[in-house]
Amino acid sequence: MQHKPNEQFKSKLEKFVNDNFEDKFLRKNFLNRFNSWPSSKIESWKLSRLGKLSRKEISPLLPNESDFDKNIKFLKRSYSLVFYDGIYRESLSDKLPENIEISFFEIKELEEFLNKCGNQEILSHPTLNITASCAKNYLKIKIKKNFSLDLPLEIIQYGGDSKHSIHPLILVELEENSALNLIQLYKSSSALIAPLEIVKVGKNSNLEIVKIFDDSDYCHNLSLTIKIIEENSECKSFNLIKGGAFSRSENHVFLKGESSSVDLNGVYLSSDDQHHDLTSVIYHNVPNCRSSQKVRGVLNNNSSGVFQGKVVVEKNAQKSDAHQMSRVLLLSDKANSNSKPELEIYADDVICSHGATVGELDEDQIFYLLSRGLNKEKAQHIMIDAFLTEIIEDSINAIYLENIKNETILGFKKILET
Amino acid sequence: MVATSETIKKVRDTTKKYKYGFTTNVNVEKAPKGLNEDIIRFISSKKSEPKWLLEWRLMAYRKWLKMEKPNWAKVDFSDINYQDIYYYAAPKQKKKLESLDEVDPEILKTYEKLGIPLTEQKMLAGVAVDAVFDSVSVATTFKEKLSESGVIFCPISEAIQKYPQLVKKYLGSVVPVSDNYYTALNSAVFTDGSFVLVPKDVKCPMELSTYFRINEQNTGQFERTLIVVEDSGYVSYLEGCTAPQRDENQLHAAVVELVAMKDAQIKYSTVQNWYPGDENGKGGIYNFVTKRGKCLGDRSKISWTQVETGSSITWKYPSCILMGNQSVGEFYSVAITNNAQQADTGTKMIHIGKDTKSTIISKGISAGKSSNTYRGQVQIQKTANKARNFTQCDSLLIGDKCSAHTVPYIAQNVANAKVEHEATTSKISDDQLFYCFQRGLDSESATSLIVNGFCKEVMKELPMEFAVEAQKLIGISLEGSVG
Amino acid sequence: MSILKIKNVHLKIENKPILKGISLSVNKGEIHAVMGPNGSGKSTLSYMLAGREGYELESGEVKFENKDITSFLPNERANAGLFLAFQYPVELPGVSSVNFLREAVNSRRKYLGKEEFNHLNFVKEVRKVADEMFVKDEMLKRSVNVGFSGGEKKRFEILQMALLQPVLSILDETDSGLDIDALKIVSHGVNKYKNNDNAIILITHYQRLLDYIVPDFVHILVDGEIKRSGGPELAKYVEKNGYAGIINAA
Repeated sequence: MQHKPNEQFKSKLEKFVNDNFEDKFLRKNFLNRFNSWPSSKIESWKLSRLGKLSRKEISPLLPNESDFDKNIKFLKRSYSLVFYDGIYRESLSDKLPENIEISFFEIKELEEFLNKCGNQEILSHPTLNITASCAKNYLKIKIKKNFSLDLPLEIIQYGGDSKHSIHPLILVELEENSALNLIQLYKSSSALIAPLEIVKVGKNSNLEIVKIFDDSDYCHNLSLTIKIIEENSECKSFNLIKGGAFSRSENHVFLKGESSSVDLNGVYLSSDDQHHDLTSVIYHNVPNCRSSQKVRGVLNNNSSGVFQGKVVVEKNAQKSDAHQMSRVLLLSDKANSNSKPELEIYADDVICSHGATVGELDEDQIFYLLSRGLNKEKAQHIMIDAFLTEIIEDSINAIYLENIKNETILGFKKILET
Repeated sequence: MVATSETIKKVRDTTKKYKYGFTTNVNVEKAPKGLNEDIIRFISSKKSEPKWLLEWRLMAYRKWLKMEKPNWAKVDFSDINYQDIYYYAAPKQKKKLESLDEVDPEILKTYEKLGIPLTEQKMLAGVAVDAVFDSVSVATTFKEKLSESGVIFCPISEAIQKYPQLVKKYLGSVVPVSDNYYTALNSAVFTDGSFVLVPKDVKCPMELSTYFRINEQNTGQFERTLIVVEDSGYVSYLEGCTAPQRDENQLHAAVVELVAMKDAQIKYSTVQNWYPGDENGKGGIYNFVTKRGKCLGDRSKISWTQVETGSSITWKYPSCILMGNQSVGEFYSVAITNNAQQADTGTKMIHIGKDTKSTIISKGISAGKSSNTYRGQVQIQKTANKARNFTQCDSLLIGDKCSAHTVPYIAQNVANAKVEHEATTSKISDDQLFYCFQRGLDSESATSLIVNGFCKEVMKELPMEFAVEAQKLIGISLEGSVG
Repeated sequence: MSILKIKNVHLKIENKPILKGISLSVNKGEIHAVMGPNGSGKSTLSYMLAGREGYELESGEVKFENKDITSFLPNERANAGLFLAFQYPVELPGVSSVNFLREAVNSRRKYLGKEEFNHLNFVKEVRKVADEMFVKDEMLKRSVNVGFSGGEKKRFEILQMALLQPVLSILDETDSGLDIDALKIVSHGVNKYKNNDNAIILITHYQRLLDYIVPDFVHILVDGEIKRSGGPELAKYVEKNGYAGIINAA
């Protein structure tokens, strides 16, 4: 069967945009740039196991306006924003304090943001173009100047069905001197979810993001996050990828202000035929910035895992400090791991390093535990837990550390069972 | 700091930039410019080749016509006009050479100037040399001594005549004709190169060496080297290269194939000093080379050591296919780029056999406004139980106009294998420089000393004769890069 | 005969005054000790003399053998015979110690118009001197300062001093981190090198070293100024009463 979902999808997309949006002319820019469905011919998708995705027939979902009545929360004490079928549902969400503003924004603002990134490569990204074309609306969450939210903000993505794609588009903006802890939970049942998130961190601000990928087992998640970080600001993010058939968390970070820093850590836990993928590009645009990436993966059965991390240090970005470390545990001979840590450096006064290791659980350590009377599963548990805990404790705020740890334990218990 | 720039100027004025930039006047026989099937027939008939080889060349040429040049490397150059190149240039000689004394004295002089005397009494003791001048091999030394031990070391054109079955068996067996654009081109038009066969249980009694020289203008050099070492044999092979200083770019697209049988070992060292072009990037050699070794037998070992200082563009990935169980692949590399040079170099280690092991040590140094990329692939296939790889690649930046890139691909498909990769990028620390200054060293010697230290792990893999030359070369390559 | 004359030297680092009008005169055959608490400007003084980038004078005069050396590069000062034994000698991975020493000694010899050593002769020379300094052969085979213990690093500095035969040696906290045996070895080396044609500036925090290398003059450097100068007895006074007494008195 010769399917060409790329062309099919593009025509579906065009029709969808024409039929449903008044600002369709404004959306054309993105629509026209969507010319390539992710394919292994493109370097940045070469390592992704795309087979199933390209065989799927998908069309964008026209979201159902009626709300479903289910109260969902991840953390007990938090402000929740609930998205269903890719759109924000106010009636299901918590009321927010005054200094957080929820509004809709125009396509123009997205284009201005992309201009500010000043990067051509990103403009051809499939997620950007699909989702900017067919997102029902563009939602902005703004944290006002000098404000720190007292509880974590959580955004939960639900809904969708096995034939359609959904397209949430969110802009998170932190004005100067503000702080936010953000948890994003993907629990979609769609064939494809292509979340586009735009993050602006203003001067002297502090953002922490935890993303949990836990979609249904046939779902493809092509998350794309683009961040601009200004002077003296810090953005720490952590990805826990465990669900879905194919989950890719892709981050493009622009360190635009001096003395800014970014952490992009992550854990993926994969089994069966799952494909999990952490891809990032970090641009050191100005001097004195710091970036760090620590990734741990555990792969069982037929699964595959990818870490692609690229650090670009631009010409005048002296005193850049950039580190990458990826460590992967393979629990099965059928699993495969691909790493591609990449450094592209145009300034001379820098300290950059990367490392990658792939291997199995240490036999000596397992044997030591067995000799102390533990059974093999228990020994594996202990070792994997230790392998992951280090990075989780390093990345996660104490407020919800236990919750994330529990999610992680559930995740690796599941991959060990199968 | 007035004094610094003065010192540097003095150093620049007193040292020659590229001391191998001269040309030699010899009578040359050339095929007409350009590439078509007739040229290939011409080359093949010039060499009185058997029919199968002509067919093979034509097959390669037809494949090449349909191929595209690779564009994934981080190098930038304008398209090459393949019709504006001479594919065959050979010093004219009336009859077959009986001994070295009959080689054109101009050519002997050339090699002497290059520090490679070909007359046996003057030669480096213990190194046998095959000298390739443009398209053909002009001299091979110590042939008799080698043949006593059963080692065959001769130009590949001679091997085609004398040992056609051997050549036919192995030619293209490691690097398939259509592996890439340049291998297809090379297969169609290769003119000469070296052939080595080390028979079973023989440790080759001396280092073998090929010295490549491009002399003629608008000439491409397409040599082909084939080294086969049978069970438990051993050979250490050195390769050196230079070219005259010319304003146009010249193409060097070589193919090197190594085959190591059971318990055999091959050590292949290169000091590459092709003309790098001038400060503004004018002229210089395009070095687009495919080198690959196959560890066919159990416990075989192939080790690549390279010091890359020349060429305006380097595109080169000496690789190992580790098929035999417990076979070992090694890659040690120093790549220095200065001025407008571009290098995209690294290795591939393909683990297929059980308990295979590979080590990659790469040191990249970029200075001037050059660009230096390490690109490597470690692939652990499903059958490679308990395979091991260790990779270390470090980059050093000198000056703020150059760039350094590191692109490793790591693919692992079996759980009990272990792959480790480490990479760093940094500049020479001010503390180190100041310490050397305080001991009286000027900035050029301090830099050269520290850079040589940075490269030590690789340099120690080179055979002695080469190591000294390579060390000096590093200093020369970096001239004018500090201040 | 004057070797070093410093007159009213002021120096700022990142706009903060570190040296505030220092004057010091060192003649042939003399040993001067500069003592002071942490942060008093001792190491800055040594870096300034050695010509490190970022340690340029704001005002004042520095004359070495009657020549103004303020515009000299660090290596030119070294060639002229000014030696600094570092408090924390830096590691040079992959750089063989013998080669490094030969490069250094030959550039000094070249400056002096003496014939440069070839490898063989140099190895002989190094062996001889190293033996006197209790530096083991095995150490010379390693990379410069890589894998050396604290004591070995200091001994290696003194070995370099003995080989280079400088006119003026500045020993920056050479005693720090040494146990009593190592201190004796280092002092032995310094005393052996010392003669009537050269001079030493010992920069130190403690009096302990001065039991083994007896200074002719002691200067107390506090907060960027020399608060008091005197003979060896001044060091004993500081040992007993600390720097506080001197600071208060000044």
